[in-house]
Amino acid sequence: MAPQPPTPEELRRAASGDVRAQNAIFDAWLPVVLRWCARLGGPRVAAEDAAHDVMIVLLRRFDAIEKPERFPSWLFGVTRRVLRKHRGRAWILRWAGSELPDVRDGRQDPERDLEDSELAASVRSILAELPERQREVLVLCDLEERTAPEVSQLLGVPLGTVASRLRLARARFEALARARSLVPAIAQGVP
Amino acid sequence: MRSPLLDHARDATEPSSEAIARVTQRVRETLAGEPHPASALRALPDPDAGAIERIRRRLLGRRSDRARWPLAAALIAASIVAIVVVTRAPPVPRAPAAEPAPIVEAAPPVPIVPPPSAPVASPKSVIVKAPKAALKDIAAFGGIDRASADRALHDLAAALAACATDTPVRVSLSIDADGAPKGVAVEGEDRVAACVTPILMRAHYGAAPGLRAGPQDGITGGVIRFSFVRDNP
Repeated sequence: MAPQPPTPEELRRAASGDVRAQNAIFDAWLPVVLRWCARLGGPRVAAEDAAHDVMIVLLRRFDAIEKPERFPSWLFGVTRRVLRKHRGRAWILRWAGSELPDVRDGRQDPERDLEDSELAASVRSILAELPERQREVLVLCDLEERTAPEVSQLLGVPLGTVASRLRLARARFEALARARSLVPAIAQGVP
Repeated sequence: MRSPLLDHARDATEPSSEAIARVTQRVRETLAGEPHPASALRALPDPDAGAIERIRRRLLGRRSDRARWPLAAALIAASIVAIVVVTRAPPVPRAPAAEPAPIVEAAPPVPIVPPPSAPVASPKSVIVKAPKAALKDIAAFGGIDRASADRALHDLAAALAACATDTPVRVSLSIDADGAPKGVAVEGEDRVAACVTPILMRAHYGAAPGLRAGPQDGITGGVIRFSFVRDNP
């Protein structure tokens, strides 16, 4: 699952321009950032574009990470800000015509898209309908299977807030799934 | 309780190795031309101390003053000779003037006959004006440059070509955070307002559910103000 945060020594070397240290952190965290972008970005945000921007910030700002143990939280904050910027850009580009296609996820791989089931697309669209704060908690807790304290640290919110947001997110997700008749479909074993 | 449906979303958003390779390549390309320590990402080996010293010597190495003087003297002498040669050189005869090009009569303009159902011509026949602040707001809101904001505004006004008149029509379009129009205010004749309003209110820009956010997410609605008038009335 999630990689271990870099050690203070690794971060120090990366900040001082050590290419090997930078590469190690880059390789370990790029898949995580791509997942976050694909799951939290929304339907019109290209996950790969957003991940690219996040990793550029990471490589430029190693020196800005003051507490190495808070590295995942720092990176998640960067991802959040980049995703908001991309959402805003997607918003305005709709006025400029249909330059921005509907992007369901970051893979942009037609073959894998074909394999993707209709049900998966419906679930992703339900996730996209959740408010951002609820979606974050649902994705981190239920998709990435992180613990509540871990999510609390990642988001920088109290543990109780994580729990309440998760409760609301699950209830809303369930309601939206029922509205789309997805829950009965599961109960009958339809893929 | 956790919904089992989420398993489908997890599998579908798991990044492939190709996606990881693509992003890595793009990051490398972005950093390639930047004067930043990270620009060496995977591109260059760690330089050894000897290499750094060699480069330093090549860039900063100095010759002795004695070695410099002959070079400076030679340059000054060469400059003087060049000036003398240029000033004494005979004038270069001018080439005879080229014959004037024959006048070709331009082809008569092709008459554009608007179809009876659409008395006003194509979207190109609309002139759009917007205050600078409006363009700045659109650009800042969308995180885009001024040219894109300008294009967005023109596309918006072009959709209203059928409503254009000889006098400027001022429009204020209120937009929700998800991109859906909330209201339209038109200054002008009732006929024009009746033409403009339904077009703008009907317009659906495919608002993505994920974009429905509020001020806390940095995404809010706004008002776009612009005016348009028929070109070449």
